[in-house]
Parts: sequence; C-alpha cells; structure tokens
Amino acid sequence: MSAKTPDAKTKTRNQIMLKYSRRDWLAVTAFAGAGLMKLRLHAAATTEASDLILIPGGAFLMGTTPEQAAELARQFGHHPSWLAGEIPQRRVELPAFLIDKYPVTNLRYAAFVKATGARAPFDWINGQPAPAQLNLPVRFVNRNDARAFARWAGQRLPTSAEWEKAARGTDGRLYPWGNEFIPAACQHDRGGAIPPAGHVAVTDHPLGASPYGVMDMAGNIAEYCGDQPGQGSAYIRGGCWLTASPLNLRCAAIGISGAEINALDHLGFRCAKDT
Amino acid sequence: MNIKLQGKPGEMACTVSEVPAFPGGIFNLGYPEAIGDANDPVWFNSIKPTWEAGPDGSWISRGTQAGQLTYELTLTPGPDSVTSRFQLTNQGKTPWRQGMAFNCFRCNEDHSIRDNECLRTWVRMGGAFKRLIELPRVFGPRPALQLYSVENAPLGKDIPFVANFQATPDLVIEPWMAIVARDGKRLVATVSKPGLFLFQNREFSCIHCGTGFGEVKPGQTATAMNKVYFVEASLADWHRRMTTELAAI
Repeated sequence: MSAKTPDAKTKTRNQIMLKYSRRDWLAVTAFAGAGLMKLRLHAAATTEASDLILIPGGAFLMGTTPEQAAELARQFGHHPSWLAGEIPQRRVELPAFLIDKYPVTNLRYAAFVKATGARAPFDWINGQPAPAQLNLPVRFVNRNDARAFARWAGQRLPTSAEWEKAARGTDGRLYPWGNEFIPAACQHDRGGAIPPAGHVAVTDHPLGASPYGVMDMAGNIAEYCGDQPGQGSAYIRGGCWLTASPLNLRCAAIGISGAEINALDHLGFRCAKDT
Repeated sequence: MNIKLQGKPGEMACTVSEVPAFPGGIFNLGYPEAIGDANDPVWFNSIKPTWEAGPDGSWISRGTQAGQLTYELTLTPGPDSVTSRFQLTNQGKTPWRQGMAFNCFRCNEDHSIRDNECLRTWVRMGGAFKRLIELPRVFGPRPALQLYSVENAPLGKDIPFVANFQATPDLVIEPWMAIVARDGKRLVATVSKPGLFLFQNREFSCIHCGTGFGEVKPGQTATAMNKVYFVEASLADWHRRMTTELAAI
C-alpha cells in the first residue's frame, strides 16, 4: 500500500467498495493497512452475494461399485466395510439445480448474522469475523444454523446426491478434478509429523475445480447436506483440512458424518437452489 | 511432577493439562458422559456434580440423580496417567442387569494426537495390534460413531446402551484403545477394569473405554476403574506396562 499513489489507492478502494458493505470495507482496509495484500486479493474474489453455478438436469453415477471399493480399501489400507455407505454405485436422475460456487464464507455469514441476530460462530471476535477470516469458509455452525442461513438467503442445503453430482459430474470420477489425487488441488492434512495447516480461503485451490467449475469440493471444510442418514444426524461431504487420506477426500466418500447439532472446527456448508 | 487436573463444577467433566508427553496440550475428560443402568443411563450434564480438590492434585466428583443413582468419582493424576475410581450406587427400586460408566477422552485442538480418520487409532485383537481402519465397521445412522465388544464382557448387541447405536461390528477386542501421535513416539490410551465396551467418534477424535459394574441391585454400591495414559513409548512397550499394571489392581 505504501508504494501506491493516492490516486491508485482511491481507485482500488472504489473497486472494492463496489462489492463490500461499509463495515466490510473498514475491516479490509484495516487488514490491508497492515501490509497483507494477499487477503485483499482473496476478499475481492467472493462477496456477500451468492455465486451460483448451474448443474444441468440428467443422470450421474453416484457412489462406488463393490469392486472399486475393494480396490480402494486395499490401496489405502482400510477394511472394505469403511466404504459401505457409498455402495452400490447407481445412476441417479436429478433435475437441474443451482449450487454455490464456493462454500459459504464468513463474509456471507456475517451479513446473515447482522440481519437476523443469529449466533455468531465461536471463532469470531465480538460477534464479527476478523478481516483475515472474511474469505475463509464459515465454521462452528451446525446443520440447523446452515439451514437457517439458506432460508434467509432464499436457498436451501443441497441433498447428498446433488452435492456429489456437483463435485464429480457424470463420469464417476474419484476427485473433482479427475481420477488421480493432486495434493495441490485441495486443502488437506499432508500427514507426517507436521500438524495440518488449518482451513484457508475458498479461492485458494483453483486446481480443485469440479467439471462444472464448483470449487473446494474436496478438503478445506466438510459440508452439511440437506438430507439425513438418520434422525438427528447429518450427511457431511467433501473431507476437510483435517483429512489426511485421499480415500476420504473422494467425491463419493461419506466418511465424516455426525450429529446435526455439532458446531465444529471442520464443518461448514454451501447452498443450493431450484432452477 | 504429576499431570494437572481441573474439575469443572456443575459439569460431568474435567480438563487435563501439563502433560509432559504433550507440552501445551489441554485435553478433556467427559467423566462420565453417561452413567448408571446400561438400559437407561443418565446422560452427560443431566447431573450437576460437585468437584472437590483432594490431596496430591486429585479431584473428587459426586453426582446424584434422585431416585436413580449416586456416584463418587476419584481422579488421581500420576506423572503420565490419570486413574479414575468409580463408586456407583443404585438408588432405584429395580436391579440393573449391567451398571456402566461411559468415559470420554477428547483430544481437543492438540493436532499432534488428534486423529479424525482413525489412521493412528489402535486396538488389539487376537493377539495382534490393529489400526481401527483395518477392522470391520458398521455404517449406522450416525456414521461417525462406532462401538466395539470387548473381551470378558457381554457382547455389544446384548448391552442396550451399545446396541442402540446400531454401530457394532461382529468382533471382540481387548478393552483398551490408543491414539498414537503423529511422530509415532507418544500415545494416549484409555483402559478400564472391568472394561465393558469401546467407543470411537471420528468427528471429535474422542475415544472411550466403557467401565462395567456388572449387576447392581437396589441400594448396592459397585466399584470399577479406568486409566488414561499419556506416554512416550511404543505401542508394544506401553501395552506390556499396562497389562502388568492392571493385573496388579
């Protein structure tokens, strides 16, 4: 910032002000003032508004065949029963729908909290996200919080089937980007003695785009879906920053799932909408 | 120097800190997360127990559910372990076929040990150490959870508390569970005597070794113990030590 002329500063400010409320602008300014330009670039990538991608209607391959499951289990050292929740593979017909390009960020969630008085996530300070959190996916929300946000936004949570189609397209691929695991395509635990690095901006992994251009469907935060495996529980999809095994970062994996009332450091969501 | 414990008045829980093997780590013991008749236990924080500091860093917790049960729990810290001794009294009018305490160890934010995928979570079956991911799993209505039958205890399907989760594979393992740290040189383990069942929740990376009290008649008090280890040792070395220690109790 210090190297820029006042005119350039004003120009940059005007560009960002187009996308941000006054409060968000003040937050971004404070952070940029500390010399951290990276955040400003990230913050400009998502907005309070939803960025929806159309997933066309039609069939897709959901789940995993028993043969694939057996091979994956062998490859990653698991008992095959750990993949039982995704067997068999089946053709599922879905009508066209819209889905958020990115998981809901703290920036978007802050607008909801401000408008409704909803509980702020635990990792915010004084009820507001820190500047550095604006473009990170919201965490510490439970499924009920996610559904409330979606209603407020005129959207809904995707079903588990919709989530999987948006992630892998129609060809049954293992990961959003293809069949080979690419470590740089998603935020995950790299294993070894070094602890995981935590969650990151939703725009940080462009290599992770799904066939439809949906981002962050593997790693970063795992995502609530609208349907449930049982009363009081929730489908959680996508793996997260704590996930070390590529097995659990696959589009078909239903490896992390739990109670809908939990608000945890690795769970977030994105929204969908009927066309 | 012993591990530091801190009871949480009004909660069925305490924190564990100043653990030499895990510098800076703060862990949570949900002791107990459920207690009483395995057919109808009292759940976490339904009781508002008292916590009283005892000698040498120990803590004593007392809880009452009127007309149902009372318990006294003494937690004693050691240099690399916490020993819990339960006294559970049936204050109801009908006998309990199986008394139990559901004891939770939670890693919290200590990423040197946290293992949400069970890649470093170990048990022992048929004389061989196994990672949990190598054992059969039942995909139940709460897929993050799994409960296991243990040696010298009724099968999980015959314990209502366990059976209700619909997440118990058809196998029997030793009554302990351990998470080995990322560096492979340290571990946390929980073991009970008598052990009743094991529980693992991937969502929290928490491990539980349920404590069994057997049949408890109205007015009767039964005792049992649990021990959580925080050690710098290989799994095999710790297992030898633990087996010797528990045999002496």
